[in-house]
Amino acid sequence: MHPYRQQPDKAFWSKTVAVQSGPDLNQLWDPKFHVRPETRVSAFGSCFAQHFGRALEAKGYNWLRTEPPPVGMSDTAQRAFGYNVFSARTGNIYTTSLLRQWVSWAAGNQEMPEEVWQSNGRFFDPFRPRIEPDGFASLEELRQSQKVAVAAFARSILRADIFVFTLGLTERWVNRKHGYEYPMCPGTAAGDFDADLHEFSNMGFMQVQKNLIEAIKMMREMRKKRGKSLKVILTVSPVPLVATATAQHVLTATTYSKSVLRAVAGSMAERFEKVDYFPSYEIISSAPMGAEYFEDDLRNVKEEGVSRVMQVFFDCQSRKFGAQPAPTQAKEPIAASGSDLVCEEILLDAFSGRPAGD
Amino acid sequence: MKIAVIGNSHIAAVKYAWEDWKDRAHVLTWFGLAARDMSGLFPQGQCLVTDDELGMKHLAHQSGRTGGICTSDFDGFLICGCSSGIAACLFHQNLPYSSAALKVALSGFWADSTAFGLIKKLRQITDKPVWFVPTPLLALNEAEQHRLSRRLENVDRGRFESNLAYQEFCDNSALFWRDKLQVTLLPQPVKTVENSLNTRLEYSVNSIKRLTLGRHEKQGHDADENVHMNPQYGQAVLDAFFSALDSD
Repeated sequence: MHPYRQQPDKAFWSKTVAVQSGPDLNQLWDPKFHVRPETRVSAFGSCFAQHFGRALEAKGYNWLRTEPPPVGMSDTAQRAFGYNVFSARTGNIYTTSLLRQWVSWAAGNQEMPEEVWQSNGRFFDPFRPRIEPDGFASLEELRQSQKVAVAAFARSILRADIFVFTLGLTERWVNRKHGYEYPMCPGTAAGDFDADLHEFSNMGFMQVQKNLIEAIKMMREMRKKRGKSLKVILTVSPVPLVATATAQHVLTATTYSKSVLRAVAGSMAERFEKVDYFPSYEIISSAPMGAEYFEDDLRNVKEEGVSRVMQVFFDCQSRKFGAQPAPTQAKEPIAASGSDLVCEEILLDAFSGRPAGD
Repeated sequence: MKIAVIGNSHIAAVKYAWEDWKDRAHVLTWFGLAARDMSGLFPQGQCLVTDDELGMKHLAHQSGRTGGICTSDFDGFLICGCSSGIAACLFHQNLPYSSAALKVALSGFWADSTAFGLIKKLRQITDKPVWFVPTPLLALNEAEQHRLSRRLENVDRGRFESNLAYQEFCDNSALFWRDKLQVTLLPQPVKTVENSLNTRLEYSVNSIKRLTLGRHEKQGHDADENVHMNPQYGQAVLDAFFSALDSD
């Protein structure tokens, strides 16, 4: 008897995907960790990661936030200023190398670079170019905000029970002279592009994985000092690239990027006991789903797509660990359409000669 | 001047102070309504009314007027209370946020208050002067003061202890009210404030509940109640109000 005879139905395309209107999504994920309503979950990463925290909170789960907005700020203003978008006010962390960079600042292994961008008397943070809609009023204000954000990011590592990271891109822009990375190509969201100083690179599997391993290792060391371990859930953003800086078509560039990220996430989950992979990418982007969960632009994910992802998340949790007790403080879900998301990356669309759609 | 005083439970301290007021150069008419019912007021003709029959009875009870709050009957309006959470907002205004974020937060805080909603409706039917005395800061006992003191470890304590933080908050808030609704903010009198964040306990002891349809006799709040203020506080508010009135 060969090994396939012992495999469950979910292992066969013909018994799941081909015979249903879509795959039985509740069998897509066999979670390693139990996420209880009281489990403190930090969430960072690309645009799609923003859905995760908000969905957790809407369900009454404990989305950990370590950098609260000032009292009085409306939901709309909070989003414009980058509060309650991720667990701390880091802005989007699209790449594993950018995550490693943030962790290294939080761990105190490296100082945040001194580079600052100025425009019309306002000051912009190269590492969070859109965090203040009109820039900071002074250099001191910017530096203070950076310190607060790095400290808050450190707390989100130290206090979380589970750290969720959504991998978004392999393409990145680095400072050729100093080696540090920008979340956005200088000159797009803010700053000026300098071809001699700003270098493009598109990471491969080994590089993406190495950065992720280093980031997780540093996070574990931070927690080890306090006698705590760290559980990580990785996801891959299903949102295609807005634009590529490679010579490739944006579609093939997207396939490359997502393939690398998906492969890294999978290999990390295989390799490390306390790292899991949650298949939000497959739920939205795999062929059997068609474009059902994408908006007309075939890029932004519809609200029902996000709901489906989170429903699968909770259903799979219940399936593995039993039904959850009803959380006591379920909140009204916050609107989470594509246009509500805070994505610096979308600014690249401005260079395509047509509006970004928001 | 004929003044309509509109407010929630915090109107009581001012009204009881007025009862003992000697030099009555102005005529004050009182419209008290629970904060939760305040948002039910809406403009009808030149008056603010509510669909709620009981609410209309409440308005008539103290004012002695039927038909709601009619702007043609008054020369100006004094709004009391209807704005909780000031201490938290004030405290955050002193944390290391960017100036732009703080400005947006301060505007959002006031714009979200019941008082703002009420005055916005009032502004739809009148351009007469409006003054606004916010909800007083909580009065803290010794134990609560101690807890507060620990929170001050993370901020510039001197600014709080000298009430400078409070005065700066009031100055910035006054700009908001003037710009948005042409309202004169009458801050809680600074002599009643300590540590920028709380009311001196002496202005809260022996506070008295607002008279309502079901309560015809004066009744004190519980001894440990720290939300409402006494007529001594009301007197300080009226002093500030009449000063503002006379200087305009």
